[in-house]
Parts: sequence; C-alpha cells; structure tokens
Amino acid sequence: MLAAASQELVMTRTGEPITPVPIAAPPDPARARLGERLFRDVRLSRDDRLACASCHQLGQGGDDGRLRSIGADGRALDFNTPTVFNAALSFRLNWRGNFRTLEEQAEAVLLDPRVMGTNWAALISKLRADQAYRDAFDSAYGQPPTRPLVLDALAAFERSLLTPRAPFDRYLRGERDAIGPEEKRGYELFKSHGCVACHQGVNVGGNLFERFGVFDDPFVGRPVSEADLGRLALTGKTEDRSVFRVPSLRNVAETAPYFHDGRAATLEQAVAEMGRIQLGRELAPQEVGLIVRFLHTLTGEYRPVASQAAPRP
Amino acid sequence: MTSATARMALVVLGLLLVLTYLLLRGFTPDAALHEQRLRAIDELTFNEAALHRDVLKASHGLLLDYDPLVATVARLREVVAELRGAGAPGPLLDGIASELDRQEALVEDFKSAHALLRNSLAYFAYLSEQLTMPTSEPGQAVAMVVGRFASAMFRFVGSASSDAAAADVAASLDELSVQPVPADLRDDTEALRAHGALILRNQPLVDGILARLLATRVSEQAQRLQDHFMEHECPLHQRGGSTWSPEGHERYGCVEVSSVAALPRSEEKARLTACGVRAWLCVPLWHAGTGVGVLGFDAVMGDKRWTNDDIALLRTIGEILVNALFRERGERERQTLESRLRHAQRMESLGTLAGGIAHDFNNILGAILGYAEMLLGRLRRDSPEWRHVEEVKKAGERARDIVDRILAFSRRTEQRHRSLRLRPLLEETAGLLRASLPSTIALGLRLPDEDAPNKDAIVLGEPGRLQQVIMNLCTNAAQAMAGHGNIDVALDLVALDTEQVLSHGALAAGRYVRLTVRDSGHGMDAATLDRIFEPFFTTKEVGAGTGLGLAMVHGIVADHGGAIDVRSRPGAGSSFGVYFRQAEAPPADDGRTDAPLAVGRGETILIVDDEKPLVQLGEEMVATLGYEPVGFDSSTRALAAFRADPQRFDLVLADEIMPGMTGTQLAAALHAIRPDLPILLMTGYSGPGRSARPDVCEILKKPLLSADIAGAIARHLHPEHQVAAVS
Repeated sequence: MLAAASQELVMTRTGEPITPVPIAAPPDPARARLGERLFRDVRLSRDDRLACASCHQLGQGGDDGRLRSIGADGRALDFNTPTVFNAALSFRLNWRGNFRTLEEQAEAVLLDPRVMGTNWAALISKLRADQAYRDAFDSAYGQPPTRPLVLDALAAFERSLLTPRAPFDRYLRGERDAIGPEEKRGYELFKSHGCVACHQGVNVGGNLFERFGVFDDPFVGRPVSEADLGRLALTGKTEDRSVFRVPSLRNVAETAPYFHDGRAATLEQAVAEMGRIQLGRELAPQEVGLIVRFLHTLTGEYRPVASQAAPRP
Repeated sequence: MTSATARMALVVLGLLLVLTYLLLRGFTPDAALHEQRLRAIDELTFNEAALHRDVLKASHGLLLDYDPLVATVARLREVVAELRGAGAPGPLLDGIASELDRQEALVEDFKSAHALLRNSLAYFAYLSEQLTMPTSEPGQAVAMVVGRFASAMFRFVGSASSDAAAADVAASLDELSVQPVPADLRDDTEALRAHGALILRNQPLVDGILARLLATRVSEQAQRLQDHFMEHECPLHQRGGSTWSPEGHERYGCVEVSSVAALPRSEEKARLTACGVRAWLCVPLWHAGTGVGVLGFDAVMGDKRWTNDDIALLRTIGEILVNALFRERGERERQTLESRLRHAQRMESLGTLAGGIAHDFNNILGAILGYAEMLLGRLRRDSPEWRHVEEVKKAGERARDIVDRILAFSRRTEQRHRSLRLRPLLEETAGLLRASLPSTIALGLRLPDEDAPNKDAIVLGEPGRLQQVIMNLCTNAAQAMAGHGNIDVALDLVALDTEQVLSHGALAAGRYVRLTVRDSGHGMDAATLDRIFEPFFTTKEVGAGTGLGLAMVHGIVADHGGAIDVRSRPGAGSSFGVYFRQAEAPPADDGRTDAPLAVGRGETILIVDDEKPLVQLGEEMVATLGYEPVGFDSSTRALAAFRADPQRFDLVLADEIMPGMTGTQLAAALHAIRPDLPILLMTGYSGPGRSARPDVCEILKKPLLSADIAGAIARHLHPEHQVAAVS
C-alpha cells in the first residue's frame, strides 16, 4: 500500500502551478456531433450568413485571426473573439466573464442582434423544417429540436473542444524531453517574472479576474471605449474599471491578435506589453523570446469528435 | 347505524389514515429524500471548510493555482441548486444562497488581490536582493536604503500589516524616492518602489478579505436548515388522551363510560357535560410493560355502549399506534446521534485538513530554520545581518509552535498512555495558572473528598498533554471574562448507568473522572458553541488569537478517548466538563508502563534521498511516527546541514544510490564528525551487506514500510529500551 502511495506521489505531485488538460472522451458523442453540426450551420443566424464557426474557426486556433470579428449587421464587434478551444475549462466566459455556463453564452450570442441576430421562433422553425435535424435530435434526445436541446447540443460540442497532449502537458505528465531546454528556461522565466501569478491552473488562466493596467496605463493616446472599461460596464462599480477575466493561454500561439482589442499582432508584442503594463518590468528581448518559446509548447491537439473514441459504458 | 357510530367510524378512519401514513413513512421515498438533503447539507459544511483551508493555503503561498477555489465555489452553488430541487424551504435556502454570493464575491476579490500581491512579493524579494549587492560606489548608498526598506517590508508582511509597520514601509518608500540613484540602477529602484507600494496597498486588503472569508457562515446556515428538516420530519404529535379513569367502568382493560349522564355528580361529569361529551371510551397504551398514555374516544350524539369487537379493534389500533410512536421516537434519537456523529466526522475532517496544512508548513519551516541556522553559522555575531537572520529563526520557531498546536488537534496516532493521578497534576497546574493569571481573576479548586475511593482520579494518559488541556481551558475561561471574575475548577468521579450524549461527544456507560472548568464570563450562543472546537475558529478579533487552543483541547481529549460537555448561555458564563475513563490500575512507580509502540517523541531524523517525492514520503512516514523529519534531496547539502549543527540530529536515514556521494560515503563522512550517530541505509537493490559498510547500523529494503522504519528507528535510537516484537 505504501509502495502504491509513493507512486501516486510521483505521478501527481508535479508541484507545478499548471496542470495538464484532461484526456477524456466527450460524455455523449451523439450530442456533441449534433452540436458540431449546429455550430457549423449558418441557419443559426438571422440572414443565414454566419455560423458559430465563422468566427470560431476550428482550423485557425478556434478564432478568426481578426482584430475584432464582423457581426450579422456587418459591423465590427466590441471585443476580439476569444478561442472556443478549452472554453469549457474556464470559470467564466468572454473577456468580461459575463457568462457562467456555455449554454448562457451560446444563447446570448445567438440572440444578440449585432452577432447572430436570430430569435428562437425563427431558429426552431428552421431546424424543424429540416428532416435531417429532426432525425438527429430524435436520435440524440428522443425529442424534436427545442431551445434547451439546441443549447445543450452546442454546449456538449464545446465541451468536446479540449486540446490535450500539448508538449508542455506531456512534459508535466513526465515526458522530460517533450519540451526543449530553451522552452524550459522560458517556463522558468514565466514563473519567476510573475506571469504565473495569474496564468495558472489547468487553463493557464481563465480562473480569476484581474485589472488590465496594474503598473501602467494601457490606453494612452487613444479614447477609452466601453469595451476598455471591462467589468465596470457590467457591474457599475468603479473598482471593476478595466477588470477582465484573465484569458487562458492554451493554444495562445494560434490565436493572434491579442488582448480584448486585438492591439498586439504578435506574441512577442503581447508578452512585452504584459511585462510593462502588468508587471512593471521592461523585459529584455531575449527574455521575451524565451517566454514565447514556452508559450508555443501550450498548443495542444484537437481531435474532431467524430474520430474520438466512444466512452466506455 | 347510529350517527354516533358513523362518527366513531370517521374517527377510526381518520386514525387509520394517520397510522397508514406513519407506517408508510418508513418505506416511502421520503427517507431517501431526507438522506439526500442531509448529505447535501454536510457537503455545504465540508466545502466551506475546504474553501477556508484553500484560501489559508493560498495566503501562505501553498496553493499553486486557483482551480481548487473555483471548483469549491462551483460545487457549493450546485449543492444549493440540488437542495432547491429536493424541496428545501425557500427562505432558508435564499439565506444560504446570498451568503454564497457574498462568499463568492470575496473569493473573486481574494484571487485578484492575492495574485498581484504574490507577484509583487516575489519581485520585491528579487529586486531588493539585486540592489543590496552593489557593484559600484554610488550603489552602496542605495543598498543601505534598500536594506532598511526590505527589513521594514518583511516586518510589515509578517505582522499582519500592523499600522506601525505600515508607517515604516511608507517612510522607506519616501526615503527611496529622494535617494539619488545611479542611472544603471534606476529601473530596478523604480520597479522596487512600484512593487513596494503595491504590497503596502494590497497586503492589508488581502488580510481583510481573508478575515471576512474565514468568517463566512454557510455551515451555520446549513445547520439551521438541518434543524428545520429534523424538526419537520418529526412525527405528528399525538394529542394526549384523557387521563380521567373512574372506577367500576373497566372492560377488557379499557375504561368505558357508556353514559356520562348516568355518572354521579362530580367535577369531571360537569366538565364532560360542558364539552358535550355523552359517552366515552379510554384505551390505555402500553409499551414494554409501562403505561405510556391513553387513547380516548368521545361520543357526542348520544349514549354509547361499545361492543366487544369495537374494543378489541380499538385496542389493536392502540398497539399499532404505540409501536409507530416508539419507532418514530427511536428514529428521532437515532437522528440526534447521527448529527453528533456528523459533528464528530466534521471535526475529524477538519483535523485532517488542518493536519495537512500543518505538515506543509512544517516542511517549509524546516527549510527556513535549517537555512537560517546555516546562515547564522557563517555570519558575524555583531553584524546586523546576524540579527536579521536570528529574527527569521525566532519567527520560524514561533510558527513551529503554532504548527505543533495544529498537530495536537489533528494527530490521531496512538500515544504512549500510562496511568497517572489527575489530582496532583491538577494541583500543580493550578499553581502555574495562579502565577500567570491576573490577580483580579480568582481560581478556585474543588477536589474529591480525602476519603473518597479513587480520590486521586486515576486515568490513562500523557501528563504533559493533559496539563495542556487544563491550561487551555483555564486560559480560555480567563479570556471569556473582561479582566475579573471567578474560575472554578472541579475534579469529581461520575458513574454512568447508561450511555449518555454530551454536547460534544458521547459516553458509554461506565466510571469516569470529570474535570470541570466553570467561568463567570460572557458565555456564548448556540451557534458559537457548535463551532468552538474547530481549528481557527475564534470569536476574538483577527490577530488576537489563533483559534487553536480549544481545538487542541478537543484533539487531546479525543486522543485520550474522552468526551467534552459544554454548557453555556450568553451572559451566564460557561462550563466545560471533560470526561476521562477512570483507570483501574494504580500508576506504575517508574512512570513507564510497557511500551510496545515504537513511536517517537520529537527526535530529529535526517532523511536523505535524491528523489524529492521520496524525501517527502519519508518525512510523512517519520512525522506520523512522532519524529521530527528534516529532509534533503542531496547528500552534499545534507552533510553541510549536519556539519553546521551536528547535535541537532538524533538519527540518519539515507538512500544508498545517490549522485555525487552515495549513502555509504555519506555515512562515513557523518561518522567522521560524530561517531555515535545511528545511521540507517535504504536501498532498492541487493548488494554488499552491512559487513561491507561499517558506518551503517542497519540496511532497510525499499519500498519502505512504516512498521519497518518504526522498528528500525526505535532499535537504534534507544537501544536500551529494546522492544522484543517490533515488526
């Protein structure tokens, strides 16, 4: 028993502030597959022009690479689109963390006139008119499409969008050579420079709120927008000014541009800016380079739900 | 059928419905629902405790990420949703939900403020170290200022951000802002000031949030919800039957008055007539040979003569009713016991939690104290650095005292108990207390009569720890009184015929020694009473007490198989009764009874293994055995620590295969310094035996078992107390 206990110590006590993304098959592949179909379907928007996947492109890191995405009304949205990958691991959703569940967030996006701009009556009648959807809902839920089922299917799909097996996670799981020496030095800098104070846990962030602009004003030289106010715009509390949900750094190398306004085009710029604004530190270019090397090791693997193994009974 | 019979039938029907309800209750899903609710309520309590533990860990830098906090907060909300689904009453749940909202907001504030604080503390330490190692002449002056700044800051952080320390930090910030700084140090100095200012701002903020977080009362409200369920799950209270039983009306063990009008004139007759009762039947209720009540039937429409069949049927109903009542009563008692048990389990889980934290702390303190000692050895005694490090060491030792107290609460290992006389121990302790209490507090002592049997109150226990119980209870009593009042300490012998449930524990029938500490202080309410023995629970303001004194009492008493009964009301003082099982055997003269348990008494064991997790494992095993482990993952560092203070260690446990210096080489080097040191070698491989290794007392085979280690350490630590059968 003690031998087993000692093994457990070796396996789990990594003593690191970052923990690996769990490797698990989605609990219900049929619902996740239905969710994927909905996710990719333009009929979920008012004019059949946008799908969830228009902005959350699964082949592009789960976002669209734009400063800010274009909504159903043809205008730019307020915030840079966050990646949908590993969203299920964050404690709140979106830049301001205004949603607690994937379902709430999905519904808000569907109904927002500036984003998908649809309404439930229109959406459900489009789905019910389609024999293929009627069959798919019937086999996944035993019922025709309804609002809660559409949201459940979308959420089920999003929960399947985890990206385990990043080189850094493999390193955490004991593969000492999964990342190289420079990447390890980058990780040490990431910890010693304090990045890890906020970017920790399984999602390397995504589990707390923090003010943007701890040591320096990030909005010098331009008017402050409502988006820049962060959670203040939601709560009305002055102490929430420019407070945002700390974003996850998983797959960060794939999700340029960076920050809520897409201000940083490259990871190097983003790291340097974080150092200046959040840590009160002008990082040397060589330090920035090493930290960026480390951040690249956070890119995981996405296996489409169709190819994932069915859960064990 | 007369209308009276019809009415009678209705009464019987009504009764049958009630009985059916009572009988079915035992089988309906209600019971499962009830269980589910109680489990959910327990979970609220447990998760709140976990949350408190995790924020404490975080505030000491022991929590590596915030995911556990997030998960616990989410789970608490889920549980409330489950309780809502399980039909818990809205207002009580709303109270819990709003407390959870408040708690969650505090957790969010805590994470945001703590992340910045932790980051700035790390930077501050790094930058101040850089700046106090100047490479240029003008840098020397900066180094002096930064040194003062750094020591002010460490006092501030260590003092729960006291105002005086805060003023020193602010003064240092000002001093640094006017200090001329050479260009090459300007960035670092600026950054140091920025982070210093942030710490000055955020440390009190984090402390304040932490105090408010630790004071959240979800479990208290959960307790109210549980009380509600207990109360409303209780049986319908049967209306008491009439107790009027005139003679001469007995039929088949029942009392029948077939015509109230025919009764002789009496007060009873007048009353019955006034109530409109025309006839009356009374069925006595018996349980286990004792009369427990009566079941009364009134006829109001006219006189009535009950048939034999009626009476037989009603008697049967009476029996069923009694059975149902007693089952319900038994159930209620079971629930009371269950809730005591849950309390005990909660204390147990808190103990485990606290023990976990304490162990983490102990490891860290070991490193702090070890390095501080090494550093002291290298510094000149008259230098300011020596004083600073000495302060570090003292603070570390104070921290270790606190950790020891937590461990006293949580440690559940077997102790070396021996039979001892409580009376002299109490007298001795009272002397100590009188010397330390203010003269305005009178300490009275009531002891068993000189001629009482077992007047010395013999119990099985450990004198030092029992003394702590007395000291802590009296200190607590003194603190409950604003400077003056009376503390009465009494010792008496109690014999219990049946099992007895106390406020904090239960006692089987038997003979007990009772120690009572009564104060004339401010007393406490039921909610406080419920939690007084939890670690970190304190009604004193933050910083005034550790909330560990009574937790320690609880831990020690539980270890001695005793129980505690607390009586208190706000404004009416408190009384703590501690019960220990009376021991039969007189104390052995040499103070030492047989000691088959190979456990330590805090002897320091040096553990060396190049694999960190195995060092930790070894430390845990050795700590559980009651020794003080000091672990190193490198033999050279272990040797350095040993050289710094060779008398500190009592025994060495070293791995054989290590890079640099093997266990055998290490053993030789250690013996060169201190030849009498017992050294045990651990190895996973078979190789040359002990004969090839003159410096090694014994070779242990990996993986190590607790019993092997316990035996081996005991054998070589105290060869004079060699125990025959250790393994």
